[in-house]
Amino acid sequence: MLPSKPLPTPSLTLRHQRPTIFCGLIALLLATCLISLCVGAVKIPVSDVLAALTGQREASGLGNILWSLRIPRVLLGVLVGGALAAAGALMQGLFRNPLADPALIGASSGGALGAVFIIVLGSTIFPGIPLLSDLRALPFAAFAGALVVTWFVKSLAANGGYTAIATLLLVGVAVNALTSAMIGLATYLATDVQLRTLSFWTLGSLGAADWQVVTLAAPFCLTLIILAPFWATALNALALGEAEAGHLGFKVERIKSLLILLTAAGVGASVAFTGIILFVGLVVPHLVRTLIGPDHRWLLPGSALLGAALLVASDTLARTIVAPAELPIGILTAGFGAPFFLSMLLRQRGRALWG
Amino acid sequence: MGIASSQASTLMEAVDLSYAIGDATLVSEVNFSVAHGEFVALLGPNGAGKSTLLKLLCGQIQPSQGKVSFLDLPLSQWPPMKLARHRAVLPQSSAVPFAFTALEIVLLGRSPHGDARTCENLAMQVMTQTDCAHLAGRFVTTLSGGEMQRVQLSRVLLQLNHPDGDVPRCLMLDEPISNLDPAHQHRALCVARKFAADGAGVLVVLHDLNLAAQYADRLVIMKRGAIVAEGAPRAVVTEEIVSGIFEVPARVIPNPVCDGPAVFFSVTGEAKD
Repeated sequence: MLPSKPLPTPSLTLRHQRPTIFCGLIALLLATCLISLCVGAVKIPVSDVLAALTGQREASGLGNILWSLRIPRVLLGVLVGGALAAAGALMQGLFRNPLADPALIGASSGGALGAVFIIVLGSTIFPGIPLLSDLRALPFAAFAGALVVTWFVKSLAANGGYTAIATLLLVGVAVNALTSAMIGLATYLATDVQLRTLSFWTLGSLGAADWQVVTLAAPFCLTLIILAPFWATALNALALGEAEAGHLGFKVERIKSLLILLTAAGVGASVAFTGIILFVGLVVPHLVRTLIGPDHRWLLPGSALLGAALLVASDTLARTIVAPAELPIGILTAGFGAPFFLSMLLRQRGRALWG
Repeated sequence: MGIASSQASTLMEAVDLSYAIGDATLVSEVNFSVAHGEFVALLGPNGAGKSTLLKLLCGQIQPSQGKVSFLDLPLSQWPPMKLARHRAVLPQSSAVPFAFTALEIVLLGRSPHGDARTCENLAMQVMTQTDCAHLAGRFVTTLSGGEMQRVQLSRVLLQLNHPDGDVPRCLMLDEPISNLDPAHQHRALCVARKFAADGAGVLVVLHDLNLAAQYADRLVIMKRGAIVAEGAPRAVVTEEIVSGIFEVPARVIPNPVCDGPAVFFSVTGEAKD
């Protein structure tokens, strides 16, 4: 992809640095994970963490904290952050709009709806069916919920595949309202134990992380993160327009359907175990685009890396600033993300925003 | 129009093509063909159905009636990627929402061939032809309408570039010069003209009768969804035909800069003299 003879333009020299920036993102993710493992209510020295990770020390008290609490939590952060950011980049490419975000357009709420249905209504209304109240059913239900909403948004897309941001956001408003109502209803019906589980849907938290959750979420999130880059060239062509991509030989409808399945899988599983975490899918791809350009071959894996790092970092912050209590992570991501979103809206004003 | 006799050299052919939405018939019973090496210009008043016909011909929309074939094979039987190596289509421009560079956009034309990595020099050559090589590193989100049109034209030209061998090719452009200044309009049409001279079929939707008459081998004029005039520029650009179709008084004189007709319109009482 690099020009054989260098062209005297700043944007292209930036593209030259892509491999370097990419390595930087990997290093950032590893560093964030390591810090997150060390920091918390109990501080663990880096040397002990590294020793425990390489298996040089058997389960002491610290090893227990690491293996049963912190490592699954960091892993869940990596999976969910990576999946949400990759899903955001994917949706923005798919809907040809840099303001699309799984949470804003309601895909996350759709996922939450599916999950809440399983958690409360499943065991209250159909207590006889064990499958419905099983933890393992959660990601599937959330996947279905996210899929329905994303598909609905896709079918609302205007002719030519351009989806006005107004349409996207209004669908988000409608689905979010429906979700709040359903969650409200669920709270009404919920037992005390269920109530505590429900409270994190609206704000998001990695607090539910344990090895079972990680193993349940991993297949869904990894499917999205690993498979999405295979359609990078098609997404690049889609930036030209749906008709244009079709004339370049891509089977646009089939590709769109497949990508919507992928996004719903990643978003659904994330929401099922961490609740709705806002703005990661919006902010991260935008940052990565300014770093390494909009080429999806770099953008998708780059977003997954930065998204993972950002979520692990936010979670570390959420666990420590009010320790020993814990801040819901959604408060942090929304606190940073919302002003960012507003600034993007302002910059886009007058440009194809409502068109 | 001698379709049967020109069968062997037909690149793309449409038979009895109609397209209707509800009660409105946008294209009715059109027979159309483009031969190898032929430059065809499609013209007509606003709303005549030019763009709709182009969409039907390239398979972007399905006809209510009739058939389109490319190299004697129905469009539906072509594998899309294979078709894209023989045929490039440039719809009327739609905005690119992300900050790709102009060179990256042009290189997307190589996606059907899968060799974008090795085609940068080729891309720069094509961009030189259309006079946008100096824009290669610019973000397309910052380009003017005319600059973007030249970049998009370069993309479809690169898509049909087959350095080794004589491959049937067809270029279909929907108003590709609508935002260009006169110099670039002529430059773009010269490039298309040369493409046809190299054996490719070229179909261009145009608005300017004089440009069409100057560069095209054959003019096809549509009105209300049907073809109302068709033939060599000299046969079609006459005062009766043109003023009849466009419903404006017209004068035709010999084109002072090339061999062919030139047309001027005058709405009575509105001109300054």
